[in-house]
Amino acid sequence: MRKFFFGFYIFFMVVNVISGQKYFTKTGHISFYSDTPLEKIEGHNKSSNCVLDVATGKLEVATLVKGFQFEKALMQEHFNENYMESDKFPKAVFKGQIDNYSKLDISKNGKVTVKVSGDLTMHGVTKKVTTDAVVSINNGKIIADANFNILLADYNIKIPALVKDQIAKSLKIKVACTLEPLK
Amino acid sequence: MKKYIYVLLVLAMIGGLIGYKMFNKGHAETKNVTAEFVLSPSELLTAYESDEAAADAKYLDKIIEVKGKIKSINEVENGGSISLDTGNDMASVTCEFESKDAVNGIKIGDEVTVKGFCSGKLMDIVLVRCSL
Repeated sequence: MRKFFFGFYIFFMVVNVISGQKYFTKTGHISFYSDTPLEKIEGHNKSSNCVLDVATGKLEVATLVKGFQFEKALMQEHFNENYMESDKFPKAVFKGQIDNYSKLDISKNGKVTVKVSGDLTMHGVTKKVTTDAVVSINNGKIIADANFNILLADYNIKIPALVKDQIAKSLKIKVACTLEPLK
Repeated sequence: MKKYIYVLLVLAMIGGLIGYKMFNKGHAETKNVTAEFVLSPSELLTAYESDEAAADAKYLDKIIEVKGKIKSINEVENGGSISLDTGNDMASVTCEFESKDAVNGIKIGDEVTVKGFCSGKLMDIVLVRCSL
């Protein structure tokens, strides 16, 4: 009987440790910017998910394509229907890890710059992405910021000749997440 | 002849103006539109958990009205969002608002009715451009 309880105790300790190693958010802010002399376009998604396993440095970011908000209704329509085809491909997902990961010390406030690499899947295409990310620890929360560029052509997103001067071939993507421990 | 050119010019100008207006048009207000589906947060979650593709086909981009208890209120840059309780700890219905003012005056535990465009499910089901 005693052994049984001891087993139970160990089991819960393990569960505790495992669950304590994941940090996440459901309110991550992902935005993109297309900047040409003729037109500036930006879209924002403020309900993106991000999960970081602080034991291994593995992370996953996911966002709903239809959740991107634009200033102009027509832009949003074109983004969804013509370019991203969000009915067919409703999600964009990044799966990767912090390279050369050494465990983050959550108990101390501080800031480090790390390299993140992994696979970004959107519009039905998966490509390798590498970027720098700034990770800061602030009172038990992990704040992660990253900026990188992607080529629309890489993701099989075609720009009609008519608007080729209005839409940048390379988009700037910005990711800002504040992660809290997963309970 | 000259008269026709003037008429044509005026017509072209009006056409251009309408085009420009349409191009710059903002979003339709969710408040003034009737919801296509009215369901509870847990019904919506069940629909997504049993068959996500079917739920996407049915609900994506549609205005959904949900009534539920507020589990959390999140401040995000230039806006706010609330999460409605679905009875499941891991998944709730997140309702995103375009302005911070929208989430003023409500608190956790309140029962609210929210209308918004369904944008799909990650961990949570997300409704965007919501109104209370």
